[in-house]
Amino acid sequence: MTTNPFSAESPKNYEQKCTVALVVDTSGSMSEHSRLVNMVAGLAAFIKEVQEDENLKNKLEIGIVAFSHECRRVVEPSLAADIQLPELKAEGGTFSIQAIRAGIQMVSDRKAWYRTNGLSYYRPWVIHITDGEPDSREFGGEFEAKWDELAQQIRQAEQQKTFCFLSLGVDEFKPAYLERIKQAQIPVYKMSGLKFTDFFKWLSATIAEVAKGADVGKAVQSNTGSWDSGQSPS
Amino acid sequence: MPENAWAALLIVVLGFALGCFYMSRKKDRKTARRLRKERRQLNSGHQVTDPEAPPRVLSDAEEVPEFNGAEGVIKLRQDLEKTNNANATLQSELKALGLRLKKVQTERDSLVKKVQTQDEQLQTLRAQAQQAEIEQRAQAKAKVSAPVDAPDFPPPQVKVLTGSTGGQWRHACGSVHGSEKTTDQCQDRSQLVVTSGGKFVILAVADGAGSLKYSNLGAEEAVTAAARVARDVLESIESSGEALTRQEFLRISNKAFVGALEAVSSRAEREKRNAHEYGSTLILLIAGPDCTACAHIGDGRAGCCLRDGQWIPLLSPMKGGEANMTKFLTHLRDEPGLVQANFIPLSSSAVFCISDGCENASWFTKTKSQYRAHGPLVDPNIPSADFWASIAMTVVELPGQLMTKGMAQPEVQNETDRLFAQFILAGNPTLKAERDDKTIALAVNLP
Repeated sequence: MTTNPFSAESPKNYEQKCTVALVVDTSGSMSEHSRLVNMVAGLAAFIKEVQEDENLKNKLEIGIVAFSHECRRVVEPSLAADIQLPELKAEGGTFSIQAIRAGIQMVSDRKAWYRTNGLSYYRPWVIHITDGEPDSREFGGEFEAKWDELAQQIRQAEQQKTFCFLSLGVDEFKPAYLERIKQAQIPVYKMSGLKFTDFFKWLSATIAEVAKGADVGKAVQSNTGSWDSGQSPS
Repeated sequence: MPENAWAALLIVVLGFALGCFYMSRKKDRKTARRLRKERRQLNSGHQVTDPEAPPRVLSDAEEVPEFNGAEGVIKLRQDLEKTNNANATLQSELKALGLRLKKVQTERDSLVKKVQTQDEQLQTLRAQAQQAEIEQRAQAKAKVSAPVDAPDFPPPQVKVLTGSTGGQWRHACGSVHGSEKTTDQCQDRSQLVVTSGGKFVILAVADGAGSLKYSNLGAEEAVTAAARVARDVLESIESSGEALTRQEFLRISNKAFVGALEAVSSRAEREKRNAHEYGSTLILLIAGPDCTACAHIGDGRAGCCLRDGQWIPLLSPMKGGEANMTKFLTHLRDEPGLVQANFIPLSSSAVFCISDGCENASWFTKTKSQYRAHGPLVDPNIPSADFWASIAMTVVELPGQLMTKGMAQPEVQNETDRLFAQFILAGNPTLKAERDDKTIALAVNLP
């Protein structure tokens, strides 16, 4: 095989970024069946894969919000190479509303930072992973109203192309609540077994597809593979 | 009775009377002493109830009056009663004062406690405010600090092209799929046409919207129509021997973009679909003996190398908030002033345009500012002289090399374009990593 006579060195540019906020459930029930252990292993594999991906390693910034009865931004949006996964403990309730809001705030803050620094960016993602039903004690009597408010905020974000929102249910999660907060183009996914590693592999490929302009609905529904139980409504 | 007996009786009577008088006086004195003692005790009692008051000393005027019989006793008793009453009143007032004092002390304790709590709260608030200020400063610092790993602003890109094409246009053009894309087809389209007289070269590049179903068809219609319209007008100018003026170029670009929109709309109509589904960008670049000109809608880049070796941009890409947001040819229907045009009355050694999939590989698009090293990043929009000069020189030299191998002229161009497409696909790590569709159209003209 002859060598191609065309060759050229490319200039150095700062890569445009895409933020992914992972809102992960660390409530007490996540300790059952080693769910949290599997999720953390999946996260570690995801970060490693992004680090090794020429296309994503300088493009994807990952942030993590861990929640139980309280929520914490445990990892601020960073390139995969700069992330050190914190120790996550399974304990407490499932106060989802504040946590999802914190994830939305995280991508919003990062977009503001990009704009301030003259950086272009791809549409960010908020990924919500839970194994249970949201805890209505979070807002007492106002819980249902607050959940509807959150659902409206997420749907508006889809119309205004502010961020993509995806919910992943694990094991015995209750899909009814997650169905209410989904975006029209992105179904609620139910994980088959605890194949977090496969899920995150699919996620990085999907984000890359959307980043180059592919239709979100089409990208999320292609090749979900073994991790998807196929029971999620679409 | 003898006189002595009367005298003795008189003495006894007088002695009895004196004894009675003496006993009466003694009893009064005793009473007076008792009263005086009681008054002293009363005075002592005042001292006990009011420790601040000086000890009361009876003045001479207040000296207990001399015994004045039964009246004196009654008066003294009345005085004593009055004093007792006054004492009882004072005791009662004292008790009330004691209770009030206790209440005031309780209130004072409560207030002290409240103040202490408020002090603690104030200290907490101060600490919080201090922390917030620190965070705010850190955020402000982060806001004004550009990413440290961003490359520096590029120096002026100057590199003179050497060699010769004999005044002819030599070219290479190709559109390829994103490197790891397995579904759909390439949504970029490009055309490169040299007018029949060989004076002008026309480069047309369209990038179909990734999210629109028929954007590849729209891109195809757009480049074909725009190149055809431009070619027709330029060949008539060429045959008349006139030069291409700015006004003439604006007329051509207007006609080419309207023609391209009509072609897309007609296709959508024929296929009974909404023309919006055929959205794509469009860049039209024309270069001739006396001019280099470009018009566009959307993103992508175009540039040229002037005869003095300066590599300069010919358009500013239309970009939205997000990286892949831009304008499409189909928007021209609602925004008639959307086309941006640029005319330079100078000839070029090389002209080129690309879709946005190639911009990171061939252009300086995101670096630190040349004015503020720690300020926001900027888009220098400068073509990389190293990148473009390298492939331009290959375009100049390759045909000769292929012909020496016995390849005929039509095959030479096909082979050049084939090798060029391979290069666009994965010619260097940056091109290889890019998953978007990629297009490069390049034409070189050296004396």
